[in-house]
Amino acid sequence: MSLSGVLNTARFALDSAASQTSLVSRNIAGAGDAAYSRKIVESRSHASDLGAAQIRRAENPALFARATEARSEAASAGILKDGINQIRSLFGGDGQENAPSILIGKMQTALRTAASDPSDTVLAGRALDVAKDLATSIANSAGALSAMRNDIEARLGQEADRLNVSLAAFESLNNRVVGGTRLGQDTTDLRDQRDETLRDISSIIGVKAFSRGDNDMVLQTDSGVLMFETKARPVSFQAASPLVAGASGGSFRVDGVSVAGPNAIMPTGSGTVHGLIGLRDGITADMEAKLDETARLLIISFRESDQSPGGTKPEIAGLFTADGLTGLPINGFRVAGIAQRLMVAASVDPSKGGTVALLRDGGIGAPADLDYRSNTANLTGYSTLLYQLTQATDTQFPVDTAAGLGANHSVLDFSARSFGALEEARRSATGKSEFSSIVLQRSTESLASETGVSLDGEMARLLELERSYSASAKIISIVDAMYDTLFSAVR
Amino acid sequence: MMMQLLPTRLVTAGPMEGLARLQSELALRQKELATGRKADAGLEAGSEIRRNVSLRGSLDDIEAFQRLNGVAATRLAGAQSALSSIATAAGHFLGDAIPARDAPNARFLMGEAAGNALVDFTRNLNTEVGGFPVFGGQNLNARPMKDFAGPEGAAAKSAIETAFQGQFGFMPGDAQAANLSAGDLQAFYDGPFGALFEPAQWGTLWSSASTSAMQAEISPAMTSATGSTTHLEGLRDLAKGYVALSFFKDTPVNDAAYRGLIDSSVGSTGKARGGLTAAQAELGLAEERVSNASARLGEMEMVFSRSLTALESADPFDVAARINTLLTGIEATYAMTARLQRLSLVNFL
Repeated sequence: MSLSGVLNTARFALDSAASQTSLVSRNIAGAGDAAYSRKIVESRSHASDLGAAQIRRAENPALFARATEARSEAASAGILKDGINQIRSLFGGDGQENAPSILIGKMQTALRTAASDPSDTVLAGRALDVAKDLATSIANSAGALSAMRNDIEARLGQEADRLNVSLAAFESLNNRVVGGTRLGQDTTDLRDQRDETLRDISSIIGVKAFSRGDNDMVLQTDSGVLMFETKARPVSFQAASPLVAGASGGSFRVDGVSVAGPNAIMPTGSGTVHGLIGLRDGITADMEAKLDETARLLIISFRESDQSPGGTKPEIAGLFTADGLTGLPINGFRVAGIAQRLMVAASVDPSKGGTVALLRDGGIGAPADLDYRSNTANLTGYSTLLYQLTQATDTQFPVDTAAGLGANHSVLDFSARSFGALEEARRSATGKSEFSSIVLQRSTESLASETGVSLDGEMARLLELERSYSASAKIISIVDAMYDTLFSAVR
Repeated sequence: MMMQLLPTRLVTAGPMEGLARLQSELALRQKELATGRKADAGLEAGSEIRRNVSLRGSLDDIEAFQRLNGVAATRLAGAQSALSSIATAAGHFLGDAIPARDAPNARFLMGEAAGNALVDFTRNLNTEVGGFPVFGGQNLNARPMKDFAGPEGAAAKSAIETAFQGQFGFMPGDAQAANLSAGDLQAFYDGPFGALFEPAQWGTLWSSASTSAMQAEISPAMTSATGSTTHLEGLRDLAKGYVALSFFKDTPVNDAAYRGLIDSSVGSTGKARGGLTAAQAELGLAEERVSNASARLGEMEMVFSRSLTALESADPFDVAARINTLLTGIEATYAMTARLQRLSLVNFL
């Protein structure tokens, strides 16, 4: 080997140290970035390879897939948990001050107090106020639930837009990665960015990614519908607007295939979309049905009948009625949307020109028809009806089994069970959400521990490079000295 | 080959993530310590929370029952004391009647005594407890007894006059009344006059009370009277005697006939006292039912609130211990984070 050969090698070593130093500084710059993966120069066996320095990134496809999946799971579980908490907040805080079951109990107490002195219109007025609170609370909760379902519907539309944007970004990044790879360029940073976009997509919808040659990628939903293959597939959501009580909402489609919503062909199992659809078709629809049934049971429980001997007039709605209601709702069948229209009859409500004494005397549903009046003797101390009313909320009636709580309940029992069902859903959703966020954290951590940058490691590498740089410099100066010696001998 | 080092971001972020959990739990425990209740009973109990809800409803109910029973007991006690003072007055009236009957001024003495007793009787039956007329039966808007001496008594007076005219053919104020014998008057007393004090007339002429007493629930599925009514037979008999003596005092009827009236009145009063005792016993029974019900409600309340406490209260000692552990953990995390931040190769180059 000639001296010039040694010099050449030393020069290449300097080059290599320089390029590795630039990589170290790139790594240090990316140390704080979660999306950045550590870049490594491929070790080369021979100095002649240096011209085409191969840069690789630290990666672990299995862990990445696991983290992506965990992100989708956590997104849907989080949506569900937040949604249930939002529903629960409609019923008040820990004291559940606005829960129908609590207000029904309060109304019973107020009616009983009124019965102790039926002539006292202040007491009757208080009972009526509690009844109004109850009706308003149920109507407001049902209204808020309906608004929530419509919000979800709108959000699903936004998620479809977001997904389209992300898929388009993914497409352009993927094109550059594939093109760059074919040209032998360094595509590691582009692939980091593409992974980041994939992460965004996975938070919207459950996704499975497959790698192909030239670092090309194919995306499917977790249910197997193609989302991206060379080209991004269109995502759409047909919102049902407005989404009325008892109706099912629109479907979420990827490439024309329904992946979430009623009758989904290939239903996705995770991601924000799954969470939102689950919230819309699950617990909010369920609570809406339960509130409707609570309202209907209230109307039935406080119905009035013909009091005249042998009277045959039909039963009518009494203290509680619904806006636009004619006759009594049928036993055992939900009337969709009735909860939003629930109110205390105007004939007994002084603020609407009614007479509060009808609460004691009966005939609220038909004040002009004396046949519905219970207090036939017009006694100011008539307490029989008020006591009957205190029992009304404990009387069992057929319930729509579609509400999911069985066939026969009193309104008090039914509303307490509805609240229990909500708490049960909250417990399970909270548990799932906690679990999935821990899984997400762990899997992100294990992925990061493989692909992340350690400042200490980079610093150590820098020291190493410094040493090798000064060694190469030393070699050059020694070769230079040898040449000097050689030339002076020749002279 | 370089050794795989843990990425810097994980080393420093790791403890902070744990910190967030510790801090959010600390907030919950502090809430528990402040309120004495589980921070989120619903999350722990799930669907079982409806037991808390129904327990709390029952407790509210019991509280209302107890409050109302207190009111009912006061009303019953008011009625009881009014009845006993009426009975005492009737006893005094009887005691006065026996020596006074044969006195020369018997008519004056007994007429006055009856008039005073009637006023007393009316006032007692109009007793209100907290605005609630205890003898009003189920009619609570009017005073139960009409004042016989005042303008409200005009209808009753004219009814007596009409009855008198129907029996004898002339008005009580007519001079012919002086010719009536004791027997005539006693027959009138037992006949048309007495009919005015029968239930049908009583409710229009003398009293505005309804026939049956107020009934109220005093515990779940238990009902009791919480007042009384002027329609009690003893009260009607008593009024009959008082009114007769008071009314005929200033009429032309002769003294012998009036004495006959005194005898009839004494008879009615004696009979009335028996009825009053029975009514007092009945009220006493109602009082006992109410107080028994309240005692049972108290026991129920204790049992219910104990189960509710078990379901949703937080043990302060347990909470305090957990807060201590959390604080220690948080402090350790702080110390560790600070030391990890210092620990970097950069600082040693």
